[in-house]
Amino acid sequence: MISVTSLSKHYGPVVAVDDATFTCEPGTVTGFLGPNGAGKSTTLRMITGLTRPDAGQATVAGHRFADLPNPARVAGTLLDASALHAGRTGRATLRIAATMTGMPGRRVDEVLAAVGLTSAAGRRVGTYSLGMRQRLGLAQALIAEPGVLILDEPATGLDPQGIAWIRGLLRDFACRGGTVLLSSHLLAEVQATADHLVVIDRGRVVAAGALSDLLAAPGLIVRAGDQTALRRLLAQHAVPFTDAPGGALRVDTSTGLSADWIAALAVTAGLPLLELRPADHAGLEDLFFTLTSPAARTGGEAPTPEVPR
Amino acid sequence: MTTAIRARAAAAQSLPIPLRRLLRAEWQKTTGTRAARWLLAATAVLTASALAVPLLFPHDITQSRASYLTWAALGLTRLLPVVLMLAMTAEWSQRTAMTTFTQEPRRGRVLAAKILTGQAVCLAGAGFAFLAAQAVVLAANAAGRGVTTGWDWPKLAGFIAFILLTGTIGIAFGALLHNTAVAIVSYFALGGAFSLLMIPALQAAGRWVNTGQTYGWLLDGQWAGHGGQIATSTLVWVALPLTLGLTRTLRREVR
Repeated sequence: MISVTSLSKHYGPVVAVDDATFTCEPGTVTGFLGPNGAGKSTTLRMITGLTRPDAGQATVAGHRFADLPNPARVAGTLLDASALHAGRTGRATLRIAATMTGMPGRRVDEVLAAVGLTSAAGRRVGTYSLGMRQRLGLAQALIAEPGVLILDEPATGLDPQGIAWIRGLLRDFACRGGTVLLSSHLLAEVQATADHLVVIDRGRVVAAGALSDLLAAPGLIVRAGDQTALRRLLAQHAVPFTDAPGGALRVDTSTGLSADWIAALAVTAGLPLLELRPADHAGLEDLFFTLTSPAARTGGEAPTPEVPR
Repeated sequence: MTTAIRARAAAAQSLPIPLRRLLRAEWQKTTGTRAARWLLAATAVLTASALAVPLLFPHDITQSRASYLTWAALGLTRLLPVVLMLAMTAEWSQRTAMTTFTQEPRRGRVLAAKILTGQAVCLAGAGFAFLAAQAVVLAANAAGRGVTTGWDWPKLAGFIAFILLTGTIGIAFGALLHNTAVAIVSYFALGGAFSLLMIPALQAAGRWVNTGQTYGWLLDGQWAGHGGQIATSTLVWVALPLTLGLTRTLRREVR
């Protein structure tokens, strides 16, 4: 369980993280999503005690990370796959992690096998590809059998098989009661792996919750044999609707209208319905673009507005 | 399985990392990189090469065990400080501080373990240099050289202190500068610059701050009359950079 409360951090005049609040529950994979420079890494570094927040606090398993006596046994972290010593072998890297966390030497071989690096374990990390470093970093995070995983862009550099593999690994970890927080800017990756979402933009949390709730677009798709009659009927009863793809109508249900009520209305009017179903979920991409600012997405520089001021 | 993960996490929270584990991890880090292994191999070669000097020039160099120990220590300490420097700088240059300080957020404990490990490496080096010198002396005497082998205790104490302090300069430079290249260059450049204080006009100052001079007394076992000067140069070369460096390392944000 990770709990972030009103976390803030600024560097000089630049606000990196602004009053961020969210929680990650056991049994869930939370995707931490935002444009480059939105404050994802800074937030993860504050959670793991590497960066001191200006205000607010973060706890892991109920304690400040820096107060945990042996934090790697509570939360495994992979904050940067390039932050591994290039002059050490993969096995030596993990042996140090095992020593630090108090794990037996056989754990080294276990996690090497778990991430598929057994045959490369004797090579120096300097010869590893980025994908192999991600695997080694993940092995290091897993070595002390933590209940929480905090991962910054863990899928970067992995090939498609690698991405499928890490997705399965994280889902399995969560199914066994673990808590996962992973940052990413790869929307498809987050959509496939996470069940919860925290979206951050310019340091502010702009959305947080279950992926299915965030992506659910309130609305019903309605289609009748006689669309003109349907339009007239809905207008008569002041039901808000818009055109949907394929000639259907999309009824806005945010006012509390139900499918039952629409069906009853159509039956009463003697209008046979061909289609009545919840509207499709909006894509994560749409949500992302709706929530995040164009300035941040284009890398800081705001596009010139076309509207004259 | 659900309870398994939670129960494990809860049990693990109450057990802090004991110092002996931190020491073992630091030992593994200090000696476990390719750079460190080459430097240690080179250190062994340099120690052996330095011992060849008194062996090859018996008329210029006093043929005593103390003299052989001096040459062994000089050979040993050419690169040994760099090994210890790397152990400090690699955390930042290789960015492993990100891992280290999430495994043990109490940075002071990690730094204490690093310094103690550095001393242990120095002592191991001193042991190696002593044995190497001893072997060369025995070999020389077997060949009829006649090296005097009396025990000079102040000399032996100075020999060990010299190696410990010289190694600790490396630790201090690494702690202060964090960047491997900058630390190594500064160490050798400043050492060279301070050795200029050997020239007669500057000798008065050099007697207090030039470790080439003050640690020379230490290594020769003549430290008895030069305590103040040895302490002053240690203050400048060890205590000052180490204090500043540790303060910096405790506070620096890991990115």
